[in-house]
Amino acid sequence: MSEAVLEITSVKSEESEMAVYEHPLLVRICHWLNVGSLFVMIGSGLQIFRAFPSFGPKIPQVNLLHWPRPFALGGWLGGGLQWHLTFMWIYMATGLVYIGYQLVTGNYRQVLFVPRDIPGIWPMVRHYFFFGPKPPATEAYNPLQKQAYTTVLILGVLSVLTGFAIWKPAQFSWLAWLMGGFHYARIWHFAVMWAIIFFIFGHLVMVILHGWSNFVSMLTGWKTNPDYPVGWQMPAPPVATPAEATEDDSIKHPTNEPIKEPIDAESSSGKSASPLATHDEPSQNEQSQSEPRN
Amino acid sequence: MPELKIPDRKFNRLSRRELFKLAPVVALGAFAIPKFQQPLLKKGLAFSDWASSKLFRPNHLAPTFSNAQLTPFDRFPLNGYDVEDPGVDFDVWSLTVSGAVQKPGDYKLAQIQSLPKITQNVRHICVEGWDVIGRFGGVRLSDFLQMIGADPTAKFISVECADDYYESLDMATAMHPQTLLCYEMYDRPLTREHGAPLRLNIPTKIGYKQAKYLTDLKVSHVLERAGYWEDQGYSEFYGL
Repeated sequence: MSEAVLEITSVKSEESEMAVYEHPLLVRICHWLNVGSLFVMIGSGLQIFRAFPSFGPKIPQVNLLHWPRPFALGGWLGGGLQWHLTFMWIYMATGLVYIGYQLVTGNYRQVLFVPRDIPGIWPMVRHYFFFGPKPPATEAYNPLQKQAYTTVLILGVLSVLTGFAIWKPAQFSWLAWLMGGFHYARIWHFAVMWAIIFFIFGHLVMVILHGWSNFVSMLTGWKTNPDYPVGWQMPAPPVATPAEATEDDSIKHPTNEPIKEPIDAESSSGKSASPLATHDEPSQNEQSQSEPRN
Repeated sequence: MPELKIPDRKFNRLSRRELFKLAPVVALGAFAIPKFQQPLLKKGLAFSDWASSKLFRPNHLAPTFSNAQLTPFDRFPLNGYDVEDPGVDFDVWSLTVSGAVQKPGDYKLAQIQSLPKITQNVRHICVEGWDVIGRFGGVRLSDFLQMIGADPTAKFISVECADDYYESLDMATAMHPQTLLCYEMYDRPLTREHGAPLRLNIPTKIGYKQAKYLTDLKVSHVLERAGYWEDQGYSEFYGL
């Protein structure tokens, strides 16, 4: 499908909804390959860790924590190593394909965290964790999401670099040296794993909270009823329906409240129906926000 | 703009088609099928070994350390697979050399020790994950291979031990300047538990390759047995 935005009309009713193509095929393939690879890498990594669950000396050995065998992959050290040393190639290849694709297509722009996003972090954190108001969604990824997805990419790269330092501390002695030598590289590798686990946990919570159509977009690429303005504006509907993004000033809504009927310029609020009229702050762009249909 | 509007039936078909395009990911599921799992993992490990052999540089040295960085000798662990001390009789001990060599036969320790002595402080890494820094003294395996007239086109060194342990080395690693036939640790002759009278010290290999209480050494073009742990499913090359 060459169009990035569609209006889907229902055969049965007058209603229609928008859908935006969020995730290209290669991004989706890499995502699900990573789900499998990370499951194996973390499970087998913990199996390997079980063989010497300490970052201190061997004599005397003081274990850091006991990781139960049922939650490790491989059954024994040899098995864990087989999984780990096999899947690391799939994991690395997927990462390279993903990064390469994002760079070549420019698709990285929608997800890469840049300094411009910094002011938007706190409002998102306040909204997610401290019951703050929902900041207006102006783009596909909000600043906190960008920060998370950019960070996890960096963590992925670090997991590979620290992994190389402990897999090849002689051939890549310079790399191991940067990390303080083999003994410390092993600690960093373990720490990076926990940071990735932390990301996965947060990511799953967010995926569950953001509903089915959001989840489906990572399967089919299409998200129906996106909560941010999409490129193509549909013309004003001929009947009174809750407004989507439109160029007709009279039904722009200045707040984030879902509306039940068209707002017109003579509304009792007395506000001028400017596209930029919002409660808190000017919106980031000239388009009004489309609301998710319940 | 009618071409941007589609009926929901068509959208559903479109979505389904996009979903099926994810099919390549399902290939990963082969690893979950018992019949394919072991062969796939074996292939994966073999690929890693192949990549390792390509990453090995014959002249790149493993890191060395100062005496101050050494792990104290009494904190240098012992790992064995059977007994710690197989009761080698030093009076009759010799290294039995065979295979693609011009001068096979039994070599006494004094003959080996007549070669130039190298001492190195290097990191010893166990597959379990722990590491120590030890001080090892011995002769270069490359010098010994020259002494016995080893075929330079040979591919493998195989060793056997007094405790029935066995290991192998690729020739590139055998020729590496830090690969030693080691007879001293911490400036003293090897103790029995640490592999007396002769062991391998190979800072470019994992610990289990550095066999102790050597009794036999064979040079060959074909690998007959990779090693005790390798036969259980561990990596054959395991270069660091």
